[in-house]
Amino acid sequence: MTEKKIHVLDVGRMPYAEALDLQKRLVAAKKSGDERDFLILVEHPGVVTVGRRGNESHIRLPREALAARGVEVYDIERGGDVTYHGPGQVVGYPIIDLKHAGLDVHSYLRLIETAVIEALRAFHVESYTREGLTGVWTRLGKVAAIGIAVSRWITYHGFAVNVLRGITGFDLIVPCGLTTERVTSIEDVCGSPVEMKDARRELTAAFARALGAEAVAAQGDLIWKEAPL
Amino acid sequence: MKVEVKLPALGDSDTTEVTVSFWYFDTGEKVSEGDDLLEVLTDKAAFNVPAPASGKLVETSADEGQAVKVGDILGRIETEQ
Repeated sequence: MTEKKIHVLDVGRMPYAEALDLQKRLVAAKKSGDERDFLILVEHPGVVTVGRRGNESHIRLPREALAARGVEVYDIERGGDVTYHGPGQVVGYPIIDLKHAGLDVHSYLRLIETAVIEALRAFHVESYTREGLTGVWTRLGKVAAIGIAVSRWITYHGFAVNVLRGITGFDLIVPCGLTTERVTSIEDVCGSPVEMKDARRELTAAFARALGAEAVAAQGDLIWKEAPL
Repeated sequence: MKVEVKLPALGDSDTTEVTVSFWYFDTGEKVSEGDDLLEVLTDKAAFNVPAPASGKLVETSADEGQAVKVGDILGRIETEQ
């Protein structure tokens, strides 16, 4: 039994802007003394996000053309370049205090990678990191993207793991600015159907384990002002 | 008293290039301890350097786009005492 807990908000499908707002509210809560650590799990409708290292040329279509396809574009405060989020992907936003967890920025990025690799083992998917890069790769290509922001040592943004086959949005961008990058998913690599809920469960368990914490469902006190569970 | 704003250790910084993104405050402005003072970037992280003390930001010595190292003095805050 560990005393440390991570409070999991499994919010299902949620538009990007709403989830970003939720992250910011949790960061603000922690800044005003809430000691709980959180993990938001979400599936976004198709969206392109541009990080601080973002390069417009890494989006292959004009923003109007993306808008016409129902894909919004957000310039956001996380590290990294351009990425895509969409259905079939589990996105995780850990809101944790790095100082409290005894981590620094670098070790935290490595912790996320370790957790993703661990979670993928449950689906018999071998994955690994690449020297000098951040993310998780398999023999068929990149399966998880990572990009974070830190304010007063509190993290937000996080990781995105491709679960289902045929997430088409990546052809809209040059993922992470790597032109030769192939993007894959858990289903593509393991060759059989995977349930999103199983991916969420394994990612939650692996992340909590990596953090040395117990995953518990978050209570709906300060969080659900507009969208009750 | 003047308090130095230093780049804290972000971990494995020997191999990580850190660049200054932007300052949230201009010199002469009041800041509170813990405020996001400036943003620095590594490859995949945007890290906000927290103000080490409350007071007036009197000097910013690292400009936008500048590469910085752990322990570098980025600016100074003049405290009340």
